[in-house]
Amino acid sequence: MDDALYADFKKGIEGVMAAAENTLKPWSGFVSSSHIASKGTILDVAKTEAKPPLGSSGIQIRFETDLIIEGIRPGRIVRVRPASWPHVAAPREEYLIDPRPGFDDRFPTPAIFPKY
Amino acid sequence: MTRFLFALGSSILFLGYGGVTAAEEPFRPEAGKFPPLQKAHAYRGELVFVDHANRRGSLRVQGSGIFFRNDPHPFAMLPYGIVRYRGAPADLRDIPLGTVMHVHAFLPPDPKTSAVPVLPVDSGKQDANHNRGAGIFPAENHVILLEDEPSHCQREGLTWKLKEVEVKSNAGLIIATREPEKGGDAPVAEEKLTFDAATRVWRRRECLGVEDLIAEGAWPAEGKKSLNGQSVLLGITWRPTPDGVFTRFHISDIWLDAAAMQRAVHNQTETHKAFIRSRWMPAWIDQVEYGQFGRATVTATLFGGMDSSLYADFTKGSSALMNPVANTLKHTHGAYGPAHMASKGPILEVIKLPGEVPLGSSGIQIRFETDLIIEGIRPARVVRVRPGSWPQVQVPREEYLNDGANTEERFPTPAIFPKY
Repeated sequence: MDDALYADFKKGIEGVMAAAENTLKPWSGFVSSSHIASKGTILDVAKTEAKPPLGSSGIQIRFETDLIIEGIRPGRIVRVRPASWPHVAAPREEYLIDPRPGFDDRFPTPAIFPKY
Repeated sequence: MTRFLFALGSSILFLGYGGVTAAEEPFRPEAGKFPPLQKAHAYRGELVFVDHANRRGSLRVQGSGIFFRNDPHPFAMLPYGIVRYRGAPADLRDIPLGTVMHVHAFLPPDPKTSAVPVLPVDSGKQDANHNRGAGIFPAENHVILLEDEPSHCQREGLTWKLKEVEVKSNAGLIIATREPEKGGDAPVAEEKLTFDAATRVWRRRECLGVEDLIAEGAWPAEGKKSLNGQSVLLGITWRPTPDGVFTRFHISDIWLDAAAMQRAVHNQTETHKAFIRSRWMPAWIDQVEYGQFGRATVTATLFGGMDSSLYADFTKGSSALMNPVANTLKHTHGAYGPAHMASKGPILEVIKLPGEVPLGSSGIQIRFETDLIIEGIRPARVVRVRPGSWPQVQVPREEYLNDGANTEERFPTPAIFPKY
């Protein structure tokens, strides 16, 4: 992504971290993605010396929260917002409501069509 | 497909057709007749998903409530439905997701063959709950006219008058009114719209950014400035809004003058002309006069809304090909190209129909003779026609059917996923 986006992650600023699907859809966005996200402070921003592999920015953040939520575990995907970015609500098709969604919630079957 | 299915899933509570007696049977378009635009239901919404190969998609319909919570609402284009983008004919694939569209739509002509969920006829009046308000799931989901903001304004003779701009860090708010070009005394409401550094400002053949307007002194670097009712056309989109604002739209493009808009119209028109020449002109069959040994003379009305140069290619005496298509305008039997199984022959006559041309029709009828009439070319059925002068090309796999009778070929089930 553009360097300007990574530059907004600074040591000492406030941040918000929400658990997301592998599709990058955040969970429980009905009020907004921030609603049940973990909030806290970015303790450190580290940059790797070596050229990062494709897919990685080469930038790591350390983030402290006083309320860790399910979905923030090693190997899992999250979305992070520095507090300076706008506090907005993502549209309905871009979030999941149930934190334990059924497969049908993500990929509805033709059963949703009416029968005649 | 996934996002579309998601959108379909969100409408599950509204499935079912009925709710009125036979005496109150609501208006539905009939096969072989162009429905009057006056009987269409008009609404506005953000284009959220496009299944261009099936000429359908989903819109987040503007209602009275919290816009971001509105589930995408599936719609299907009628076979003769017209899409317009930047003041010119378009295909669904031309329109960026997020564009706010004006919609004129009808109830499904035939609920049994609808390509999108059929809703109770009064669902547009039902409160959708969760503070979303009423009007976000209209049952009128078969679209005759889908147009973006500049197309809508040009068709209706409207213009945007910019009243005031407020800038901070190359982004901000514009207060504007949409009003008749000719003026008038009718009251118009002011609307607040956002813009940002990605907003394109078109001036003659130039594409400027907000920073260019600031550098020229037309807009302030910081703070407010009156724009004195400057007349422009706007491209309008939606994006998540901060500050608890439920519904506020965003300006993607500003066309400052007629030359700039004409340039956009020209570019989009050329895109669409190339598209139609490779996919063929849609039409429906008015009459078939059968001869002997497979010969037939076919009368067909070409669908409307396209550039006049396309219709001009249909000339008396020239050769043509005619292929049956689904209501989605998908070719049938296209594995060797749509020309492979199509009926071939000369255009005997090109007739301009008298009277006012209804939306959806070109007002142009052709009489076409073939020595081998094929199934699917029957009155009220939809076809595509190619004058012999248009290129003979193959359409991509998603735009033709091998076996039109197989529903799963058109709308695959989750059985296509592997089991682990």
